[in-house]
Amino acid sequence: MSSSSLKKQENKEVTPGDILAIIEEYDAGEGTYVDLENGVVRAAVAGIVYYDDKAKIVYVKPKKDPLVPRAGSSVIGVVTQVKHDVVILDLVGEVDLHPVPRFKGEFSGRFSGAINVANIADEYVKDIFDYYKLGDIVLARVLNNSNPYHLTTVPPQYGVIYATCSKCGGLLHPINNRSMKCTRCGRIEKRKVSALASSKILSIKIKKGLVVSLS
Amino acid sequence: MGKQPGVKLIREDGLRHDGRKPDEMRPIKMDVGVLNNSDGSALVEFGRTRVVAAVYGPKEPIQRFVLLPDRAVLRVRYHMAPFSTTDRKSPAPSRREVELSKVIREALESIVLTEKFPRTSIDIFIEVLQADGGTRTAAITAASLALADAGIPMKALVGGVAVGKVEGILVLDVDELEDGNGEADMPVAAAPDIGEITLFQLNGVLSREELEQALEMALKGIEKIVELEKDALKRKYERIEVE
Repeated sequence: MSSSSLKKQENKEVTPGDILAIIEEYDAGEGTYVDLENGVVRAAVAGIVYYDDKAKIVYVKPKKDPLVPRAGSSVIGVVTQVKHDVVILDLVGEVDLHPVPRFKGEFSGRFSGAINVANIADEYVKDIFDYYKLGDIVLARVLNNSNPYHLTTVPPQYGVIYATCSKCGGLLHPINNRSMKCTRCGRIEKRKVSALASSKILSIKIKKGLVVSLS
Repeated sequence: MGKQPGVKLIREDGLRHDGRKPDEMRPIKMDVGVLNNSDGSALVEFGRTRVVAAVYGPKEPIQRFVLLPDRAVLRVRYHMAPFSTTDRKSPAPSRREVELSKVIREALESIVLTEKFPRTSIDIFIEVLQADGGTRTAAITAASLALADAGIPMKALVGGVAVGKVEGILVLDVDELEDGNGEADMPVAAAPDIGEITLFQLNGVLSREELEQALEMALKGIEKIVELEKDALKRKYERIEVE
């Protein structure tokens, strides 16, 4: 391995296994790994290589990145179970909240998440069924990075963004942050409503995304 | 094994039955991203052998007991299509296919950086569309490309090729006829970038010297295959940029 003859090429296309730098020169960033045996940093994914000369980090921007839930990201999920102390969701995809709410993409596979009763709202939750019901589509934030994903909907922008009437099945329209009204029969139901529930762009995009992944 | 009477594998002029030199591979074709619904996919052809691989994940496995707390699990299914052989093959997974699935999984496990996705599974489906010898090595090549296409981090690309012995001569990239009538068949898969052999099997008898020479031939072939893999990946990205 003649790593001494290595030439640094910015913005070059690389594939897994390509040598990017010597370990003394650069630290391994995203999309790279350290090959201690040969003393080099190699690409782990196919993409474009970037060198951060200030921080002395080399990283590869992947052409395709498998999307999995990460701590701090906002995700969309469908309620599959409501128990007395926890709500279980099937996570569908990630949402970018800034600058404008936008559906970022579907996850690379099925993941499930749980909202504990303490993380549902910024108040004492007497009855969890007054906050979420089966089939609700929820915007939530991920709290951890490992597989039983814990979620929170305490901040006002999180909560139900799409729900249907439990009596007639009509679409529920948000009234305030705690209640929704059925557009067909006029029934008022209690929910933890997201402040973004009425933002039409988000709900339409979400519905489209969900049609694909729920079928 | 054992030679059928009347089959001539090495011609008078020293070339093989299909006109190849002993250390010449069949024409290789690779295409990345051939399937729309999978996260990553690849089609690989070694002459008349044609294999397609698809990757799904990382995802939460349906059977939770298979997941590991510190890394992702690879699940590989190698399968031959009923129409891939001259006599129709039963579509049910055979003993051979189950074993090859395991062997291919182990060939890939050592190069995929599974610790990046703990408690998930990465599913790889390999379908042999047309079989003409060397399907397991073509399968590993296709799976490696499909993983790279899915954006799953790995140490290096893997390629595979088989070396055989027919009529006393070592030949690279054996086909069905040479495999069935030759004296030995040795599939090898390796990641030349990091100098790691991930699959090494031998069916038949080789002397010590022959084995060393055969391994050298295989590694030389794999180097070329991985070069082609890199080209195929870069080609796909050029296509994306044009779109």
